[in-house]
Amino acid sequence: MIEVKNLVKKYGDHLAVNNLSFIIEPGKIYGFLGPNGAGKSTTMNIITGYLAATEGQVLINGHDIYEEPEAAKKCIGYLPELPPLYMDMTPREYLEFASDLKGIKKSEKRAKIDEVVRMTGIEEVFNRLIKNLSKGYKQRVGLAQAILGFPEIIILDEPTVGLDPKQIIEIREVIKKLGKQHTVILSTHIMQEVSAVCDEVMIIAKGELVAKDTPNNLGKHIQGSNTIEALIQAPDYKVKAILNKMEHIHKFEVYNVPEEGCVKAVVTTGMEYDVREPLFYACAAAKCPIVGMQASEMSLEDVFIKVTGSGTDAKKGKTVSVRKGTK
Amino acid sequence: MLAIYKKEVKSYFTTMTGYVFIAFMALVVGYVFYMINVKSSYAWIGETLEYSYVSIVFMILVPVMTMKVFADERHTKTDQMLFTAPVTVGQIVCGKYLAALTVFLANIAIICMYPLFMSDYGEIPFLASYCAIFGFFLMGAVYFAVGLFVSSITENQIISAVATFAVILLSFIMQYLVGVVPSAPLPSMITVCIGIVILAVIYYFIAKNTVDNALLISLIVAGVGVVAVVIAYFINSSMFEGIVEQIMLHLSISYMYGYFFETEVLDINGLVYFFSLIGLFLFLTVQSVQKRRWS
Repeated sequence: MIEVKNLVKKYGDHLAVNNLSFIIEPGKIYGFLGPNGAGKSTTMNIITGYLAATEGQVLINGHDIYEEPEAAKKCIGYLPELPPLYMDMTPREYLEFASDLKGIKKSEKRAKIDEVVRMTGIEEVFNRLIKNLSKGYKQRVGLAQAILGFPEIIILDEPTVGLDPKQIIEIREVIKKLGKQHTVILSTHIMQEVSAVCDEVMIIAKGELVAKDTPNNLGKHIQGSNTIEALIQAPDYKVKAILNKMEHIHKFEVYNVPEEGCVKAVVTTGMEYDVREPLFYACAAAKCPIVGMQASEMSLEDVFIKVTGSGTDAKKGKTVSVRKGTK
Repeated sequence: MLAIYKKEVKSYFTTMTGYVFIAFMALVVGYVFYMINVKSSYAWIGETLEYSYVSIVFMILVPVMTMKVFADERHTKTDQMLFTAPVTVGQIVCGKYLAALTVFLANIAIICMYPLFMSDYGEIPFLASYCAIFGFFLMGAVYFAVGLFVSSITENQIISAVATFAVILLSFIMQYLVGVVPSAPLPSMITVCIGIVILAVIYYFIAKNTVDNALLISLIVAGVGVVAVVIAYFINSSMFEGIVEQIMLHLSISYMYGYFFETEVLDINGLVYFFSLIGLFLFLTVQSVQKRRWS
């Protein structure tokens, strides 16, 4: 269990983490999301005791990371953004060093190393120099180091970066397996990863926690409304006239689309109201055929963009495919 | 700590560093030993060890040994593993320091054999010889502590090496620079005051981002220091006779080594001098590593 209270981190005048507070419950997989420079890595570095916070407190299983660093750090396995590998060691030497560093008993060392080597699939490269390994294998050796000794809390900063699709799936399986007995926090900016792996998502932006919920709930809560997109074969002033006359519509927007003679209307209503039928009849009455209509739900991507407030590079104008969290 | 110690010793010998250090040191000390103890028939090995060539070897080799200790860890981000592991910064620093000393011990072992070789040819002052060797070990230990500290304040190996070299060189030439500083009381007093102000300014620049009242603290320290020195000067001006010279000589580690062994015996003064320097620089290393987490 991790308690983070009012964490503040300043780099000179730059505020990297701004009054961040949250509680991490044991036995769950947490996804830590945020745009670049949001303070994800900084927060993780503070939780693991690598950096000191300017203000605030971090409790790991009740141990303060500054007051009792050793007791607190014993509970954590950490894979930083850049795996902390010694290039002129082999994975064998490296993991032996890591297990000595973590204070794993001599009698259990062999077995524990073997287990993480199997889990992360690095048997083949076990005796090669780390500097000669591919990025994917380096990442896996780093992961092996983090989960070595199976600490209660495992913190992974972008664990699947640089892996091929097959390896990504394998590593996700490993993470899921770990999540059954351990608390796992992973940061990522791959949305599918969050919905595929995480029980709970935390989104931070500009150093502040902006959302914390399950992947499924997140979409619904943030949205709080129904949105449909309709492709209508009519000039835009006509469509606007139709929509203006309709009731229960919170807001609508009309876009021009590449398709000849068509416009796209995006109509937002309350959660309970289904606008599709009235819209159909209204358009039919005005002799403006609807050539396509789709409900658009918010995906995690949209939630992410909305709560982090950086919609500039969003691929708008397309129907957003819905990817619900698969727990 | 043991894990870090083992890893560091191993890394000295998986790279060339450890071998180069031992070989080069053995070569130079061996040569000077041959010239002084063998050819000129001095019985006491201290004559060899306090010879200036040997200090120059430290100047070149200690930076090579210590440059990557912290700078490289920081550069490759492997320090994230060390500082998030359940070990304290003090243990990390000690592990790394003892590893460097272990390599140096190989040379000490070689030097320890020299008096034995010489004993075939005449009367050897064994106690004085081994005292000198022990003192030599302590002198090297001070240099390693300095190198470790310099390595901990930078991220770049080359800067670390050059800075360590510069510091040891400066320490070495201090003994030859004493001729150019004033020794009369008044100019000495003024020089001391300037020194205090410079230290306060350095403190201000180090602490201004992390300590709230850095400017105030440095002003108070400088002010109080200068006033105290001036008052002391008016009470007893002869106190300042040659004080700058003395300070400079005490900063010259190789000079102090020769000075302590003028009587061919290592006394408590010498032990206190070396151990306090080692302690000071290890403490500074721990502090500078800790400081980085806060900035």
